[in-house]
Amino acid sequence: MNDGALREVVRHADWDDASLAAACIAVDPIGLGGVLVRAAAGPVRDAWLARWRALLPASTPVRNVPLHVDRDRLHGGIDLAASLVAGRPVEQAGLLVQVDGGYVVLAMAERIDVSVAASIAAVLESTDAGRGARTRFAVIALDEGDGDEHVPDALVERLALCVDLRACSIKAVIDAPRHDIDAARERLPRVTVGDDVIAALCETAGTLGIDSMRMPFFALRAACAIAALEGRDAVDEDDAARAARLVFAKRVRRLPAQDASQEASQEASGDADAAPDDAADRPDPDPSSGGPDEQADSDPTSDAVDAAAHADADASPPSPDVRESLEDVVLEAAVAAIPAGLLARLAADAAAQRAAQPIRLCHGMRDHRIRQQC
Amino acid sequence: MTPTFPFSAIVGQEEMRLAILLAAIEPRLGGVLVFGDRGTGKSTAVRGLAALLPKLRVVAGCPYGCDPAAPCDDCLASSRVKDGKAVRTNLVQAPVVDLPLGATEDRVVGALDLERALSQGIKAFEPGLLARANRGFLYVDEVNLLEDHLVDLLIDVAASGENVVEREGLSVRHPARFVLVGSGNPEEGELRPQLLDRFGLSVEVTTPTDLAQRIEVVKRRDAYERDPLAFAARWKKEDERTRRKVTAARERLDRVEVDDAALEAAARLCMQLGTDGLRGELTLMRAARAVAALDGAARVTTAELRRIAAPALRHRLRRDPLDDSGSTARVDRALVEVFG
Repeated sequence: MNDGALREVVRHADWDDASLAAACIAVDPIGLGGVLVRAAAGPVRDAWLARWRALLPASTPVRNVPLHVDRDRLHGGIDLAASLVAGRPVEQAGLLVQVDGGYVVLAMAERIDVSVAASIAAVLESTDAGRGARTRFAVIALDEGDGDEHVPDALVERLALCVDLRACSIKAVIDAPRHDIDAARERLPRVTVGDDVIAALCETAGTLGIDSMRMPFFALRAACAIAALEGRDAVDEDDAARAARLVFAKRVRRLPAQDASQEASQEASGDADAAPDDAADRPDPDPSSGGPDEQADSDPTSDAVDAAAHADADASPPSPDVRESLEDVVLEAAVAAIPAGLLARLAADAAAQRAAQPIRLCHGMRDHRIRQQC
Repeated sequence: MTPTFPFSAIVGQEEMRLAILLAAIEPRLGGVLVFGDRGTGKSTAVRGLAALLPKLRVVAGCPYGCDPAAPCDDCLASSRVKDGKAVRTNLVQAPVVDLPLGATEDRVVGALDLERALSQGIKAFEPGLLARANRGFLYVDEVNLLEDHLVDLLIDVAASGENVVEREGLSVRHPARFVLVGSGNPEEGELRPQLLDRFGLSVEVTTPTDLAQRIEVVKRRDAYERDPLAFAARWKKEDERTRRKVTAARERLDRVEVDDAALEAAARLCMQLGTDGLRGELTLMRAARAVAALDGAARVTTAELRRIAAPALRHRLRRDPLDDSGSTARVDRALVEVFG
């Protein structure tokens, strides 16, 4: 397969993930908390937003919240004009209360003030909007950050789904399957999850260095939403794997195999230098263009790189003679959807850690950079 | 209203749970700081605390929920108290008040009551969050992201137990004695040392590494989200039992004996660690006494000191440029050196 065709496939995978995320958040806004949408403003993002809006029931409240929103407007306070007319204070419900049962869209969320983000996150989680008001909503955080800026962690931590449309061309924006959201919403409470699925999601999160216990739980909710969308009453392997792509992939902090070979990681770190902070293009995964060749097949890290690139091109697992457990399927799905920039950085990290075991000075910084990616 | 996630249903995190229980038993400890990874149930544990607290007797109608045995100035000046005795009292849930990030100063300290100012032309004080937290708990999630001016305010009020309001033409002072509980993720910012010092205990939480435990966490959270009422009902007995333990421990607290040997052991430990001032020893003693009360022990021994030394002291260590081991490791080492 040539380069261009491979890229096209990868981009389609991004769009498919994003479409699925749109459907999931339409089905279970409360359980999933929201979507972090990494994309530049433009036709692709517009297409995603339009698709998501089209899925919502007609009366769903959706409010765009600008960066300069003030606290009173967000959380409620005195309505100045009405108070002056009435001669007595008139309370005005905040945006977050008005949007109960619906969605808040945060444009340029990477520029949002930390305390505003944290206050939205707090209401998102506690449903307590102050003054005795309760509200439940989901957040669509539009992140146009190009590396230096990122959406505050306090908020990102409470949004189950991460989609990345930066590498996605408008040509990839194709009609995804139509979903019956009403039916899925109705079905959702009945969807059951086997213990094996919960175990697989927990194990995968652990393997990928995703510490927060919210993430396996979010993946579980996402898997239920996907099952509901597919019209099933029980979560199956495929639902779990797709949920892992949506929830885990952009938050990975550690690659599954730590003992990657030196060559592969050097290769990866080279790519990271060439494309700092997630340039729009994925590093070239094609072995014929100077990557690790024979060695790659026995190497776990480049397996991961390979898997990321080829997951959608050919579904053959790395070791076909071993029957895969549910854990492996979920893990593989999550690894396959790791953005290339993050993948390269993780590989470089693993290499650096091996090379300089005792020196851990930059560790925090590196963690920070990785978190920025998500 | 949706019930909060029950405290008893929290999986693992023994140190955090113990510290929160101790804060509930002994308010003079000075509260708890819970620092650690995201998604480890920090705020869940604190929010579950309210259900464990014994009910409070308050003067009916007092905006500060003051104690009938020691009415505040506001009560003394009003008709709520006659001849030094409260006319009517209520039994209420001890407050656990959330101080949200980005809260405005007037909401925290209180402000001019606009309603009465506009409608009746009366200059009246509308109490803020600090007033509501009096005799209870004030919880700051993401405490390390709190804006500086609010941190300053908290440091002052937490030390004095009194909120003094001089603004908008108001001049008000009222009791604001609360137990400060904070949580946060240290990767995102440090805490000012002065605020750090206000916390009696400091707990470090990490994500569970045991797969079985992780699975249990997710399962319980799922069960709770699917049917909060049923889940809370299932854990009600357990929460009830914990609350009785807290109440019993509070009653026992003053009878727990702290002999000279225990005091000396605490002092030796603090000297070994070079903690600043006496606050470390005091906290260590109080915490150890609360542990003994919780366990129903008659006196404080080295066992209690050992158990609580790390949370009581780890945030009081001076930075040692020659020792880059973590503060928990330093406390553990000192424990071995002092107690063997």
